[in-house]
Amino acid sequence: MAHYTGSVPGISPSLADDNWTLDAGASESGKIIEVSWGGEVVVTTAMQTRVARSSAAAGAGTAGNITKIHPNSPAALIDFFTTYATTQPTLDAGDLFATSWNAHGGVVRWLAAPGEEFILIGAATISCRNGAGIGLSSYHTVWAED
Amino acid sequence: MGYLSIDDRAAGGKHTEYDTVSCKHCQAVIRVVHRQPQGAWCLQCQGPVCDTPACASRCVPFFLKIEAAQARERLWAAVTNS
Repeated sequence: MAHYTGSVPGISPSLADDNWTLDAGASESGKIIEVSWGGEVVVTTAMQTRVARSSAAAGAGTAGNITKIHPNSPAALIDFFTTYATTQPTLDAGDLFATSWNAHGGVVRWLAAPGEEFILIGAATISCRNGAGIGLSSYHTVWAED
Repeated sequence: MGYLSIDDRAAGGKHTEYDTVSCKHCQAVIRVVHRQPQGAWCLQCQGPVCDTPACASRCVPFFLKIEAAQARERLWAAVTNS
């Protein structure tokens, strides 16, 4: 099972656009084993960030930074996007994970227990987007592909 | 259990850590607060579920949803290959 990291460093998030989106094609599957983010603002800045399943994105995606954790792994099949050309994803009402945090040096990190990862299977997307706060911040995830 | 860390020490706040479990129905992260009542529990799944009405009111295990997605994919492949 190959593992990959996706990073979006140093952005001022848009509340209408994902910080990142993991986009699995019809015959692809994987699971998110870690999400994390941190703030680089020097004054207290309230943020609220959510990770949720999403749908209805349209247009070409802009690829974010992907790194293979093992150098001999094949290239990732699941796309790691930072935006879509035509329509941004619509996030489900229910969150997989969401928390408020402070972008003044705040760091949030969630690690899945084995067997409790967020599963992506077949034409599915999971998005990370801010519900509040546009302070300078960085977003990161680790996923595994079958 | 999973692990959640929210570190606000740089702004003079505190570092909060939680154990986490996942909802058996939707995979949402549930923060475990030890020695407190832990919220909804599915007797069929024998596991924790989140408090959203869809998850707390009926049992649809997440792995059933995966099987449904796989069935849809197989049907789609059969239709497009025929």
